[in-house]
Amino acid sequence: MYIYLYDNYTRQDKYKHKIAQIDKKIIELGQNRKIIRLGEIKGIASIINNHSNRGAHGIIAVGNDRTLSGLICAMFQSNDQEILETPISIIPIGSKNQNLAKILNISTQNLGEALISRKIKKINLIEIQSFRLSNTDHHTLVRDQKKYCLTQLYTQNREGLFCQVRNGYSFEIRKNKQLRIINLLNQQDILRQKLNNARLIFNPFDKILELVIENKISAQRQYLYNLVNKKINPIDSFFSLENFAILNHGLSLLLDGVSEIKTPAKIKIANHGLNFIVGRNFHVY
Amino acid sequence: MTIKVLNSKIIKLSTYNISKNHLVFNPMSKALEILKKLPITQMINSSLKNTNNENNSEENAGLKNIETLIGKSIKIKGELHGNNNIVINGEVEGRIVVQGNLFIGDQARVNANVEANQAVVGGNVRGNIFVNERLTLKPSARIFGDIECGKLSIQEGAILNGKCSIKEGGQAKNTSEQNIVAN
Repeated sequence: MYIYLYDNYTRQDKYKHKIAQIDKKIIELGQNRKIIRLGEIKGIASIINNHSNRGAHGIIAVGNDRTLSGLICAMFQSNDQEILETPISIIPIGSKNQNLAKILNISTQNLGEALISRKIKKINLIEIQSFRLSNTDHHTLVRDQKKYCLTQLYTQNREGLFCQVRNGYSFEIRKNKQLRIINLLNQQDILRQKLNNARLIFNPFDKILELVIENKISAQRQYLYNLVNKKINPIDSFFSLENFAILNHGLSLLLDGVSEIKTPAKIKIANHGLNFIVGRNFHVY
Repeated sequence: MTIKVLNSKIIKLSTYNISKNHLVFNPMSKALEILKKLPITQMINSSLKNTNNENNSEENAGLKNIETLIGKSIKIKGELHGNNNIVINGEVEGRIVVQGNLFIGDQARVNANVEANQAVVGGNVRGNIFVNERLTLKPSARIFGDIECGKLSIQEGAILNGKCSIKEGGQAKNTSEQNIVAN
Protein backbone atom coordinates (compact mmCIF):
# COMPACT_ATOMS: atom_id res chain seq x y z
CA MET A 1 0.00 0.00 0.00
CA TYR A 2 1.23 3.49 -0.86
CA ILE A 3 0.23 6.47 1.26
CA TYR A 4 -0.26 9.77 -0.60
CA LEU A 5 -0.15 12.92 1.49
CA TYR A 6 -1.74 15.83 -0.34
CA ASP A 7 -0.70 19.24 0.96
CA ASN A 8 -3.42 21.74 1.78
CA TYR A 9 -2.51 24.16 -1.01
CA THR A 10 -3.16 21.52 -3.69
CA ARG A 11 -6.90 22.03 -3.12
CA GLN A 12 -6.70 25.29 -5.06
CA ASP A 13 -8.57 25.35 -8.36
CA LYS A 14 -5.44 25.90 -10.44
CA TYR A 15 -4.07 22.51 -9.38
CA LYS A 16 -7.28 20.52 -9.92
CA HIS A 17 -6.25 19.35 -13.36
CA LYS A 18 -2.85 18.08 -12.15
CA ILE A 19 -4.39 16.34 -9.15
CA ALA A 20 -6.87 14.64 -11.47
CA GLN A 21 -3.95 13.46 -13.66
CA ILE A 22 -2.19 12.01 -10.62
CA ASP A 23 -5.32 10.21 -9.47
CA LYS A 24 -5.73 8.77 -12.96
CA LYS A 25 -2.09 7.61 -13.05
CA ILE A 26 -2.43 5.90 -9.67
CA ILE A 27 -5.49 4.01 -10.88
CA GLU A 28 -3.67 2.97 -14.09
CA LEU A 29 -0.75 1.60 -12.09
CA GLY A 30 -3.15 -0.44 -10.03
CA GLN A 31 -1.41 0.44 -6.77
CA ASN A 32 -3.14 -0.21 -3.53
CA ARG A 33 -3.32 3.31 -2.18
CA LYS A 34 -4.45 5.50 0.66
CA ILE A 35 -4.96 9.19 -0.05
CA ILE A 36 -4.78 11.60 2.86
CA ARG A 37 -5.41 15.32 2.46
CA LEU A 38 -3.46 17.25 5.03
CA GLY A 39 -5.01 20.06 7.01
CA GLU A 40 -1.71 21.22 8.42
CA ILE A 41 1.85 20.01 8.06
CA LYS A 42 1.90 19.28 11.79
CA GLY A 43 -0.63 16.53 11.21
CA ILE A 44 1.81 14.32 9.28
CA ALA A 45 3.39 12.80 12.40
CA SER A 46 0.09 11.51 13.80
CA ILE A 47 -0.98 10.19 10.39
CA ILE A 48 2.23 8.22 9.98
CA ASN A 49 1.97 6.81 13.49
CA ASN A 50 -1.58 5.67 12.83
CA HIS A 51 -0.61 3.87 9.63
CA SER A 52 2.63 2.39 10.89
CA ASN A 53 1.18 -1.04 11.55
CA ARG A 54 -0.34 -1.46 8.09
CA GLY A 55 2.97 -2.01 6.24
CA ALA A 56 3.15 0.86 3.76
CA HIS A 57 5.38 0.25 0.70
CA GLY A 58 5.97 3.96 0.32
CA ILE A 59 4.87 7.39 1.45
CA ILE A 60 4.55 10.01 -1.27
CA ALA A 61 4.29 13.72 -0.47
CA VAL A 62 2.16 15.52 -3.05
CA GLY A 63 3.16 19.17 -2.81
CA ASN A 64 6.39 21.11 -2.54
CA ASP A 65 9.60 21.34 -0.47
CA ARG A 66 7.63 22.20 2.66
CA THR A 67 5.54 19.05 2.34
CA LEU A 68 8.53 16.75 1.90
CA SER A 69 10.48 18.49 4.66
CA GLY A 70 7.54 18.02 7.04
CA LEU A 71 7.31 14.36 6.06
CA ILE A 72 11.04 13.84 6.74
CA CYS A 73 10.79 15.37 10.23
CA ALA A 74 7.67 13.34 10.97
CA MET A 75 9.42 10.09 9.97
CA PHE A 76 12.11 10.72 12.58
CA GLN A 77 9.62 11.85 15.21
CA SER A 78 7.84 8.49 15.00
CA ASN A 79 11.06 6.81 16.24
CA ASP A 80 9.87 3.55 14.66
CA GLN A 81 12.46 1.47 12.77
CA GLU A 82 9.83 0.14 10.34
CA ILE A 83 8.71 3.65 9.45
CA LEU A 84 12.30 4.84 9.00
CA GLU A 85 12.87 2.05 6.44
CA THR A 86 9.78 2.99 4.40
CA PRO A 87 10.74 4.69 1.11
CA ILE A 88 9.46 8.24 0.62
CA SER A 89 9.24 10.56 -2.36
CA ILE A 90 7.55 13.63 -3.73
CA ILE A 91 5.17 14.46 -6.55
CA PRO A 92 5.84 18.14 -7.18
CA ILE A 93 2.79 20.35 -7.64
CA GLY A 94 3.42 23.89 -8.81
CA SER A 95 6.66 25.42 -10.04
CA LYS A 96 7.76 27.27 -6.88
CA ASN A 97 9.79 25.71 -4.01
CA GLN A 98 10.61 22.48 -5.86
CA ASN A 99 14.35 22.29 -5.12
CA LEU A 100 14.10 18.95 -3.34
CA ALA A 101 12.29 17.40 -6.30
CA LYS A 102 15.07 18.65 -8.60
CA ILE A 103 17.75 17.21 -6.35
CA LEU A 104 15.96 13.85 -6.30
CA ASN A 105 15.76 14.16 -10.09
CA ILE A 106 11.98 14.02 -10.09
CA SER A 107 10.56 15.99 -12.94
CA THR A 108 7.95 18.67 -12.30
CA GLN A 109 6.55 17.96 -15.77
CA ASN A 110 6.30 14.19 -15.74
CA LEU A 111 3.99 13.70 -12.79
CA GLY A 112 4.08 9.93 -12.77
CA GLU A 113 7.86 9.59 -12.44
CA ALA A 114 7.80 9.07 -8.67
CA LEU A 115 5.07 6.50 -9.10
CA ILE A 116 6.78 4.51 -11.84
CA SER A 117 10.39 4.74 -10.73
CA ARG A 118 11.63 1.79 -8.73
CA LYS A 119 14.98 3.37 -7.97
CA ILE A 120 15.48 3.66 -4.23
CA LYS A 121 18.51 5.37 -2.74
CA LYS A 122 19.44 5.62 0.93
CA ILE A 123 20.44 9.21 1.66
CA ASN A 124 21.93 10.63 4.85
CA LEU A 125 20.33 13.71 6.37
CA ILE A 126 21.56 16.58 8.52
CA GLU A 127 20.30 16.48 12.10
CA ILE A 128 20.00 19.83 13.88
CA GLN A 129 19.34 19.91 17.63
CA SER A 130 18.65 23.40 18.91
CA PHE A 131 18.96 24.55 22.51
CA ARG A 132 17.35 27.27 24.57
CA LEU A 133 17.89 28.82 27.97
CA SER A 134 16.12 27.03 30.79
CA ASN A 135 13.06 28.78 32.22
CA THR A 136 14.13 28.12 35.80
CA ASP A 137 17.84 28.72 35.50
CA HIS A 138 18.77 31.24 32.84
CA HIS A 139 22.34 29.98 32.64
CA THR A 140 21.58 26.40 31.67
CA LEU A 141 20.85 25.28 28.13
CA VAL A 142 18.13 22.68 27.55
CA ARG A 143 17.18 20.84 24.38
CA ASP A 144 14.58 22.52 22.26
CA GLN A 145 13.61 21.46 18.74
CA LYS A 146 15.15 18.73 16.62
CA LYS A 147 14.83 19.03 12.86
CA TYR A 148 16.21 17.28 9.83
CA CYS A 149 17.43 18.67 6.56
CA LEU A 150 18.07 16.92 3.23
CA THR A 151 20.20 19.36 1.20
CA GLN A 152 21.73 22.36 2.92
CA LEU A 153 21.52 24.94 5.72
CA TYR A 154 21.98 28.66 5.23
CA THR A 155 22.55 31.43 7.68
CA GLN A 156 22.87 35.19 7.45
CA ASN A 157 26.11 36.00 9.23
CA ARG A 158 25.78 39.67 10.14
CA GLU A 159 27.43 39.65 13.56
CA GLY A 160 30.11 37.00 13.33
CA LEU A 161 29.74 33.30 14.14
CA PHE A 162 31.26 31.18 16.87
CA CYS A 163 31.44 27.46 16.15
CA GLN A 164 32.85 24.54 18.09
CA VAL A 165 33.92 21.19 16.68
CA ARG A 166 33.30 18.26 19.01
CA ASN A 167 36.52 17.13 20.80
CA GLY A 168 38.48 19.49 18.62
CA TYR A 169 38.85 23.14 17.95
CA SER A 170 36.64 26.19 18.03
CA PHE A 171 36.57 28.75 15.29
CA GLU A 172 35.29 32.23 14.77
CA ILE A 173 33.93 33.47 11.46
CA ARG A 174 34.01 37.21 10.85
CA LYS A 175 30.79 38.94 9.93
CA ASN A 176 29.33 39.38 6.47
CA LYS A 177 30.36 36.00 5.15
CA GLN A 178 27.68 33.61 3.91
CA LEU A 179 27.68 30.27 5.72
CA ARG A 180 26.35 27.09 4.11
CA ILE A 181 26.34 23.60 5.54
CA ILE A 182 25.95 21.12 2.71
CA ASN A 183 24.72 17.55 2.55
CA LEU A 184 23.53 17.28 -1.05
CA LEU A 185 24.13 19.49 -4.05
CA ASN A 186 22.34 19.42 -7.35
CA GLN A 187 24.47 18.86 -10.45
CA GLN A 188 23.39 22.25 -11.76
CA ASP A 189 24.25 24.11 -8.54
CA ILE A 190 26.83 26.81 -9.17
CA LEU A 191 28.51 26.09 -5.83
CA ARG A 192 29.52 22.64 -7.13
CA GLN A 193 31.52 24.30 -9.91
CA LYS A 194 33.15 26.69 -7.43
CA LEU A 195 34.15 23.77 -5.19
CA ASN A 196 35.61 21.88 -8.16
CA ASN A 197 37.50 24.96 -9.35
CA ALA A 198 38.97 25.37 -5.87
CA ARG A 199 40.03 21.67 -5.90
CA LEU A 200 38.10 20.94 -2.70
CA ILE A 201 37.04 17.44 -1.69
CA PHE A 202 33.25 17.09 -1.71
CA ASN A 203 31.44 13.77 -1.41
CA PRO A 204 27.76 13.79 -0.50
CA PHE A 205 27.72 10.15 0.64
CA ASP A 206 30.71 10.10 2.96
CA LYS A 207 28.69 10.94 6.14
CA ILE A 208 30.70 14.12 6.55
CA LEU A 209 29.24 17.62 6.41
CA GLU A 210 30.80 20.26 4.25
CA LEU A 211 30.83 23.75 5.73
CA VAL A 212 31.35 26.43 3.07
CA ILE A 213 31.99 30.08 3.81
CA GLU A 214 31.45 32.26 0.76
CA ASN A 215 32.57 35.79 0.09
CA LYS A 216 29.60 38.12 -0.11
CA ILE A 217 30.20 40.25 -3.18
CA SER A 218 27.69 42.94 -4.03
CA ALA A 219 26.38 43.18 -7.57
CA GLN A 220 28.12 46.54 -8.08
CA ARG A 221 31.51 45.22 -7.01
CA GLN A 222 31.05 42.12 -9.16
CA TYR A 223 30.31 44.41 -12.11
CA LEU A 224 33.56 46.30 -11.53
CA TYR A 225 35.49 43.04 -11.26
CA ASN A 226 34.01 41.93 -14.59
CA LEU A 227 34.90 45.31 -16.07
CA VAL A 228 38.58 44.94 -15.30
CA ASN A 229 38.37 41.24 -16.28
CA LYS A 230 39.62 39.94 -12.95
CA LYS A 231 38.47 36.87 -11.06
CA ILE A 232 38.04 36.71 -7.31
CA ASN A 233 37.87 33.49 -5.33
CA PRO A 234 34.22 33.08 -4.32
CA ILE A 235 35.00 30.52 -1.59
CA ASP A 236 36.65 31.96 1.50
CA SER A 237 36.81 28.81 3.63
CA PHE A 238 35.86 25.14 3.53
CA PHE A 239 35.66 22.55 6.30
CA SER A 240 34.82 18.85 6.33
CA LEU A 241 33.27 18.13 9.71
CA GLU A 242 31.39 15.27 11.35
CA ASN A 243 29.91 17.06 14.32
CA PHE A 244 29.94 20.71 15.33
CA ALA A 245 27.92 23.36 17.12
CA ILE A 246 27.03 26.98 16.44
CA LEU A 247 27.21 28.85 19.73
CA ASN A 248 25.57 32.18 18.84
CA HIS A 249 22.18 32.89 20.42
CA GLY A 250 19.09 33.72 18.41
CA LEU A 251 20.54 33.23 14.94
CA SER A 252 18.19 31.71 12.34
CA LEU A 253 19.26 28.69 10.33
CA LEU A 254 17.25 28.08 7.17
CA LEU A 255 16.75 24.38 6.39
CA ASP A 256 16.26 23.37 2.75
CA GLY A 257 15.08 26.93 2.14
CA VAL A 258 11.81 26.05 3.85
CA SER A 259 11.89 25.88 7.64
CA GLU A 260 13.86 27.71 10.32
CA ILE A 261 15.56 26.76 13.53
CA LYS A 262 17.29 28.97 16.08
CA THR A 263 20.81 28.68 17.45
CA PRO A 264 22.59 27.59 19.60
CA ALA A 265 22.42 24.30 17.78
CA LYS A 266 24.36 21.06 17.34
CA ILE A 267 24.68 19.88 13.78
CA LYS A 268 25.67 16.44 12.58
CA ILE A 269 24.75 13.70 10.11
CA ALA A 270 21.73 11.75 11.41
CA ASN A 271 22.41 8.23 12.65
CA HIS A 272 19.77 6.77 10.36
CA GLY A 273 19.42 7.61 6.67
CA LEU A 274 16.13 7.56 4.82
CA ASN A 275 15.18 5.65 1.68
CA PHE A 276 14.11 7.95 -1.14
CA ILE A 277 12.39 6.95 -4.37
CA VAL A 278 14.42 8.96 -6.87
CA GLY A 279 14.29 9.66 -10.59
CA ARG A 280 15.92 7.32 -13.10
CA ASN A 281 18.81 9.73 -13.74
CA PHE A 282 19.44 10.55 -10.08
CA HIS A 283 23.08 11.49 -9.72
CA VAL A 284 24.57 13.99 -7.32
CA TYR A 285 28.24 13.74 -8.16
CA MET B 1 40.44 54.07 -33.71
CA THR B 2 37.18 52.35 -34.42
CA ILE B 3 34.73 51.14 -31.84
CA LYS B 4 31.64 49.03 -32.44
CA VAL B 5 28.71 50.66 -30.73
CA LEU B 6 25.46 48.95 -29.91
CA ASN B 7 26.48 45.92 -32.03
CA SER B 8 25.04 47.56 -35.09
CA LYS B 9 27.04 50.53 -36.17
CA ILE B 10 30.76 51.14 -36.45
CA ILE B 11 31.67 54.68 -35.55
CA LYS B 12 34.99 56.24 -36.11
CA LEU B 13 36.15 58.21 -33.13
CA SER B 14 38.61 60.98 -33.55
CA THR B 15 39.67 63.84 -31.32
CA TYR B 16 40.12 66.32 -34.09
CA ASN B 17 37.76 65.35 -36.88
CA ILE B 18 34.75 67.53 -37.16
CA SER B 19 32.36 66.20 -39.72
CA LYS B 20 28.74 65.32 -40.17
CA ASN B 21 29.53 61.60 -40.40
CA HIS B 22 31.68 61.40 -37.32
CA LEU B 23 30.99 61.93 -33.67
CA VAL B 24 33.28 64.53 -32.21
CA PHE B 25 34.37 63.21 -28.87
CA ASN B 26 37.00 60.92 -27.47
CA PRO B 27 35.14 59.15 -24.76
CA MET B 28 36.81 55.76 -24.34
CA SER B 29 40.41 56.74 -23.71
CA LYS B 30 39.39 59.65 -21.49
CA ALA B 31 36.87 57.51 -19.65
CA LEU B 32 39.45 54.82 -19.00
CA GLU B 33 41.90 57.41 -17.70
CA ILE B 34 39.29 58.79 -15.34
CA LEU B 35 38.27 55.30 -14.27
CA LYS B 36 41.84 54.33 -13.47
CA LYS B 37 42.26 57.37 -11.25
CA LEU B 38 39.14 56.71 -9.21
CA PRO B 39 40.03 55.61 -5.66
CA ILE B 40 37.65 52.63 -5.80
CA THR B 41 39.33 51.24 -8.91
CA GLN B 42 42.75 51.56 -7.31
CA MET B 43 41.43 49.87 -4.20
CA ILE B 44 39.93 47.02 -6.23
CA ASN B 45 43.10 46.56 -8.27
CA SER B 46 45.29 46.44 -5.17
CA SER B 47 42.99 43.97 -3.43
CA LEU B 48 42.77 41.88 -6.61
CA LYS B 49 46.54 41.80 -6.89
CA ASN B 50 46.69 40.36 -3.38
CA THR B 51 43.97 37.85 -4.21
CA ASN B 52 45.66 36.83 -7.44
CA ASN B 53 48.91 36.35 -5.57
CA GLU B 54 47.10 34.07 -3.15
CA ASN B 55 45.51 32.05 -5.94
CA ASN B 56 48.79 31.77 -7.81
CA SER B 57 50.63 30.70 -4.70
CA GLU B 58 48.09 27.95 -4.04
CA GLU B 59 48.54 26.74 -7.61
CA ASN B 60 52.29 26.86 -7.21
CA ALA B 61 52.00 24.70 -4.13
CA GLY B 62 50.48 22.14 -6.49
CA LEU B 63 47.80 21.21 -3.99
CA LYS B 64 44.76 19.24 -5.06
CA ASN B 65 42.13 17.41 -3.01
CA ILE B 66 42.02 20.11 -0.36
CA GLU B 67 40.17 18.85 2.70
CA THR B 68 40.20 22.08 4.69
CA LEU B 69 40.58 25.65 3.47
CA ILE B 70 40.93 28.25 6.21
CA GLY B 71 40.28 31.69 4.76
CA LYS B 72 41.30 35.11 6.01
CA SER B 73 38.02 35.54 7.84
CA ILE B 74 38.56 32.49 10.10
CA LYS B 75 40.27 32.29 13.47
CA ILE B 76 40.80 28.80 14.92
CA LYS B 77 41.69 27.86 18.51
CA GLY B 78 42.57 24.29 19.40
CA GLU B 79 43.94 21.20 17.70
CA LEU B 80 43.42 20.99 13.96
CA HIS B 81 43.77 17.51 12.46
CA GLY B 82 43.59 16.56 8.79
CA ASN B 83 43.98 13.40 6.73
CA ASN B 84 44.41 15.14 3.39
CA ASN B 85 45.71 18.54 2.30
CA ILE B 86 45.08 21.72 4.29
CA VAL B 87 45.43 25.35 3.18
CA ILE B 88 45.66 28.08 5.83
CA ASN B 89 45.19 31.77 5.02
CA GLY B 90 43.70 32.82 8.36
CA GLU B 91 44.67 32.59 12.04
CA VAL B 92 45.34 29.39 13.95
CA GLU B 93 46.23 28.99 17.64
CA GLY B 94 47.00 25.64 19.16
CA ARG B 95 48.33 22.66 17.24
CA ILE B 96 48.18 21.52 13.62
CA VAL B 97 48.61 17.86 12.62
CA VAL B 98 48.25 17.05 8.92
CA GLN B 99 48.85 13.63 7.42
CA GLY B 100 48.91 15.12 3.92
CA ASN B 101 50.40 18.39 2.72
CA LEU B 102 50.13 21.79 4.36
CA PHE B 103 50.17 25.19 2.71
CA ILE B 104 50.42 28.31 4.89
CA GLY B 105 49.56 31.40 2.85
CA ASP B 106 51.27 34.78 2.82
CA GLN B 107 48.72 36.42 5.10
CA ALA B 108 48.31 33.53 7.51
CA ARG B 109 49.21 33.85 11.18
CA VAL B 110 49.89 30.58 12.94
CA ASN B 111 50.62 30.42 16.64
CA ALA B 112 50.95 26.65 16.90
CA ASN B 113 53.21 23.66 16.59
CA VAL B 114 52.92 22.16 13.13
CA GLU B 115 53.29 18.58 11.90
CA ALA B 116 52.84 17.65 8.25
CA ASN B 117 54.04 15.31 5.56
CA GLN B 118 55.13 18.16 3.28
CA ALA B 119 54.70 21.88 3.83
CA VAL B 120 55.00 25.20 2.03
CA VAL B 121 55.12 28.14 4.42
CA GLY B 122 54.55 31.72 3.28
CA GLY B 123 53.17 33.41 6.39
CA ASN B 124 53.89 34.08 10.02
CA VAL B 125 54.48 30.99 12.19
CA ARG B 126 55.24 31.06 15.91
CA GLY B 127 55.91 27.49 16.91
CA ASN B 128 57.91 24.43 15.98
CA ILE B 129 57.54 22.86 12.57
CA PHE B 130 58.05 19.17 11.99
CA VAL B 131 57.80 17.98 8.39
CA ASN B 132 58.39 14.41 7.27
CA GLU B 133 59.57 15.19 3.78
CA ARG B 134 60.05 18.56 2.10
CA LEU B 135 59.67 21.94 3.78
CA THR B 136 59.67 25.06 1.59
CA LEU B 137 59.95 28.56 3.06
CA LYS B 138 58.72 31.26 0.70
CA PRO B 139 60.13 34.82 0.65
CA SER B 140 57.26 36.06 2.86
CA ALA B 141 57.77 33.34 5.50
CA ARG B 142 58.49 34.44 9.07
CA ILE B 143 59.28 31.48 11.33
CA PHE B 144 59.86 31.91 15.09
CA GLY B 145 60.57 28.39 16.30
CA ASP B 146 62.54 25.27 15.54
CA ILE B 147 62.16 23.29 12.35
CA GLU B 148 62.86 19.63 11.64
CA CYS B 149 62.43 18.13 8.19
CA GLY B 150 63.74 15.70 5.60
CA LYS B 151 64.50 18.30 2.93
CA LEU B 152 64.61 22.06 3.23
CA SER B 153 64.26 24.85 0.69
CA ILE B 154 64.58 28.46 1.86
CA GLN B 155 63.81 31.15 -0.71
CA GLU B 156 65.47 34.54 -0.56
CA GLY B 157 63.73 36.85 1.89
CA ALA B 158 62.43 34.19 4.28
CA ILE B 159 63.18 34.74 7.98
CA LEU B 160 63.94 31.88 10.35
CA ASN B 161 64.60 32.38 14.08
CA GLY B 162 65.27 29.01 15.64
CA LYS B 163 67.08 25.72 15.30
CA CYS B 164 67.12 23.86 12.04
CA SER B 165 67.49 20.07 11.89
CA ILE B 166 67.56 18.02 8.69
CA LYS B 167 67.52 14.25 8.97
CA GLU B 168 69.57 11.94 6.82
CA GLY B 169 67.93 10.11 3.95
CA GLY B 170 65.54 12.96 3.21
CA GLN B 171 62.93 11.80 5.72
CA ALA B 172 62.68 12.94 9.31
CA LYS B 173 61.96 10.35 12.01
CA ASN B 174 58.77 10.74 13.96
CA THR B 175 60.15 12.15 17.20
CA SER B 176 57.74 15.05 17.09
CA GLU B 177 55.86 14.06 20.25
CA GLN B 178 59.04 14.28 22.34
CA ASN B 179 60.09 17.56 20.77
CA ILE B 180 56.74 19.19 21.28
CA VAL B 181 56.40 18.02 24.89
CA ALA B 182 59.90 19.28 25.66
CA ASN B 183 59.07 22.65 24.15
